[in-house]
Amino acid sequence: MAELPRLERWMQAVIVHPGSVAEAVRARSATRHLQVSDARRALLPSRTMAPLERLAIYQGMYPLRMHEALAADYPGLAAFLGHERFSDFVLSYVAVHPSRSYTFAHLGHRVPEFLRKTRRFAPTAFLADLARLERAMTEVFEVDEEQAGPPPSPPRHVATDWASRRFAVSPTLRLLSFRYAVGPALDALKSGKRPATRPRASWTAVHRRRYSVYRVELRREEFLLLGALTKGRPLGAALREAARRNGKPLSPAAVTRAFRTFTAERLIGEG
Amino acid sequence: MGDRFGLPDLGVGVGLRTVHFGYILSKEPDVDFFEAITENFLDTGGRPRYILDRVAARYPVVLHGVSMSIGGTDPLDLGYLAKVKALAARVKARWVSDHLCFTGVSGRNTHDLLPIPYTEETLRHVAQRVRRVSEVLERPLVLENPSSYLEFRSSTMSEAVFFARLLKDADCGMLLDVNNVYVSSVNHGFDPYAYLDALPADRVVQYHLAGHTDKGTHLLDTHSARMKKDVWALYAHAIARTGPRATLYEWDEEIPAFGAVHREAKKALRYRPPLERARPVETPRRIARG
Repeated sequence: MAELPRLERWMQAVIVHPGSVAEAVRARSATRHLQVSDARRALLPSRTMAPLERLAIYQGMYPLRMHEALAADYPGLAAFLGHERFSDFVLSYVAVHPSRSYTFAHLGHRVPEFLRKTRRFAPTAFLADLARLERAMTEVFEVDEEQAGPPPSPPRHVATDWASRRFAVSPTLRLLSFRYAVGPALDALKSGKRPATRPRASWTAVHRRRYSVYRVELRREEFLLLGALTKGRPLGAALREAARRNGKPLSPAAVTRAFRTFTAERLIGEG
Repeated sequence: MGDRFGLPDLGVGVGLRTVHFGYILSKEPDVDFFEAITENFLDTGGRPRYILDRVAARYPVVLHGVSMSIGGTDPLDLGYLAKVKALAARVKARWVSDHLCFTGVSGRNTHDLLPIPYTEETLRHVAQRVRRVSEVLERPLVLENPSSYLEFRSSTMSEAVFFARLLKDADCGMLLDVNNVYVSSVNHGFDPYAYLDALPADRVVQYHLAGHTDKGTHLLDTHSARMKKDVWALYAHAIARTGPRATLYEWDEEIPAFGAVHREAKKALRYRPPLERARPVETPRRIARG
């Protein structure tokens, strides 16, 4: 069983190499398994192609496959960078974080972190925020329905004892805060427009209802209040926590608006 | 002429693809069976799983994997196999298939179906892995011949001979992709009819049909467009040897509307009989729905 592992490691080393196939067979990652002269002899030519040209077919398909998989999870990032820069990004990313799973579902897990750390792709902070939003949407899409449970039923109107009331929160809810308005940016990119990339704080709720993912743009006070309700706080305590983090109490109009949004979007329901 | 495992002829099916989900659920087209790509439904509990459950409640389903890496030299991923087994039980998969290839090594997955050298060493290695997988899945594994673009000088037997021996040594079934046979035959210069004739007919459980693309120097198995006439001729030859077997049409690039894919699949009925289906006894509507 000595020959097969060596051939497979060599072939993989060549296929995942970002350069040409000629460069790939000469790279240390390949020659540690098979010397260049042995590599040429390892494969047969066809009637129309030399051995390395045949190997190049596989090598050429590898980045395309990674590109397609990451573009499916990060359509906004792909649209913003454009085909060439996104391809460059994909090659850099999979060189550091290659797929180690039987599914593509895990390939893009570390894209936001990678963008932040490498700083090769500008504007870095904007792209990292955009990727974080797209990642959250993918994760919410994949959540097991049996674990997620049904969305909360609409809250009943209760005239008294509002301060001690607790609300159920959508079981798939993700609350995200950003330095950039990446929600509107994603909408712009989807309709083929160039988004604004100047810093502007934004807050987003992502959740799933009947197998569809919804994204809701929130105001800051809505984000703070929903965050407190998510922790299971009764409404009175949630309002106090939101006020403390907001630096001032939430106005009655803001609270009313927040509840309209939460209930209309089915973010909260009867506890 | 049944297969040696007693697996059913499921008729003529279509690959289950995301773009057709809505159509399939709303129109419930008259399709004999669907084939789902296993890995697309393993780590998701959302809409894809819901769709597959709905499809499986209405149609026979088979699972077709792309990441088992049966020819690989990393240890078999038992966690993955446990998930495949659970999914197969959930959707009552008639069988589970994958490819004769490796997909990666040293913990990586290239997500490609990479060729292996056809040697005695490889044969022993793969046969032992197939037997282990069949034990874990508690059903015979079905393996597909992938299309390939290179050959190893170290191979000591043809792919057809390797496959024929593997099917017997590992006691597994074959998913015979006639388009892949054709693509590889052009790329490597062998006789595709001799390939088919070398296979034990009673091991063939399922057929795959698809289109390919001529790149000038080689053929590429793109699963795009319609299947070529020469490949239909190969299918006719193969099905005459094996008798009717479940036949599935794959279309993965520039996928047209469901009806167009289904029409292409149904061309298989020129070469094989339609599936004999038990007709339900006519009952009053209120009872049938009760």
